[in-house]
Amino acid sequence: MVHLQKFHEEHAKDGLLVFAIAMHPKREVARELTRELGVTYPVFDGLDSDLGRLYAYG
Amino acid sequence: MLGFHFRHGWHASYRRTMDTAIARRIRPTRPRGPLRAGLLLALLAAPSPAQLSPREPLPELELVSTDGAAFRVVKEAGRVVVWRDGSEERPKALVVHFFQPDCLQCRAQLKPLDALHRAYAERGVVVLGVAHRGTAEQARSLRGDLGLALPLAVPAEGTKIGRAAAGDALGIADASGRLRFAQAGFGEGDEKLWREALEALLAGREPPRATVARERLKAGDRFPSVSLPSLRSGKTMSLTGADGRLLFVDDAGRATKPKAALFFFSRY
Repeated sequence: MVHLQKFHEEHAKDGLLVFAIAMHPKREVARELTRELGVTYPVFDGLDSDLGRLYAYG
Repeated sequence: MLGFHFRHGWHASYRRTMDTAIARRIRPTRPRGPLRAGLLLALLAAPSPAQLSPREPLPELELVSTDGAAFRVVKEAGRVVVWRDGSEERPKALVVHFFQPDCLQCRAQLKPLDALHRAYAERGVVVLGVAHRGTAEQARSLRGDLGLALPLAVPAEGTKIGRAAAGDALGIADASGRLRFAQAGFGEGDEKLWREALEALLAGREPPRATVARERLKAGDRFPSVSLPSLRSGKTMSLTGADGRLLFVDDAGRATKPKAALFFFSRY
């Protein structure tokens, strides 16, 4: 997440959209983590989503 | 359409490759027609097949335990040998989990691994966690936070684990050091697979599964439209394709047309 934040900061003005699809089993923990890590790019809540079920793993 | 870069975990070398790829997408060096919105995929949670591979030998490891003692995994006369703190053990099977201390998914995996250690240590199985991109202090802190009993170690100074541990990976080797089970990432219920593999190895049988495979996105796939709540605000955001361009609408209703997108599924 932190590494992608740098891409966001460096390339957003050039038209790059950085986003994450959060799959952490506890939303509050994921939310807190994005705050702690200073993540400012969009983060979708992917838990319980069809997209998350289809493509998320690991 | 999805571009390339299909990675598991994160490695400093990826940064250079991704910088180049991003620059090509959003700042082309040659004049050309209207820019097409490309979707550049950097799937940081995707298993890489080049990591631990079944039927190949587990790499030898020069480590330091969280107590500061030397910890080595080597092969001698066709057997894997674990050296720690002056003593030697020749396990019947070896489970090695490469992880990053700040990865919540890795942390989630450590608890069932600890249970595996407690269940199998007396049966001659060594279960080992290697924080391949962390410090001994981070690994020690993790042990305390999670109440772990399994051995944790970090690479010895000046050594590298190499591609075997890019991201997170788990391997189960037999007594000769040959990998018989390999897995990247973690999903609930995987501990059942580990136990099946160990029981098979201890009984002299082939594990029922050699790898854990999961569906994945491939370069060239068309990424589906996304319309999901923002993790922060709970309000809907969307990413769709319209007239050959990406259209992103944030949780405040603001619309933009990015030239490219970089995304990942994150369990932490």
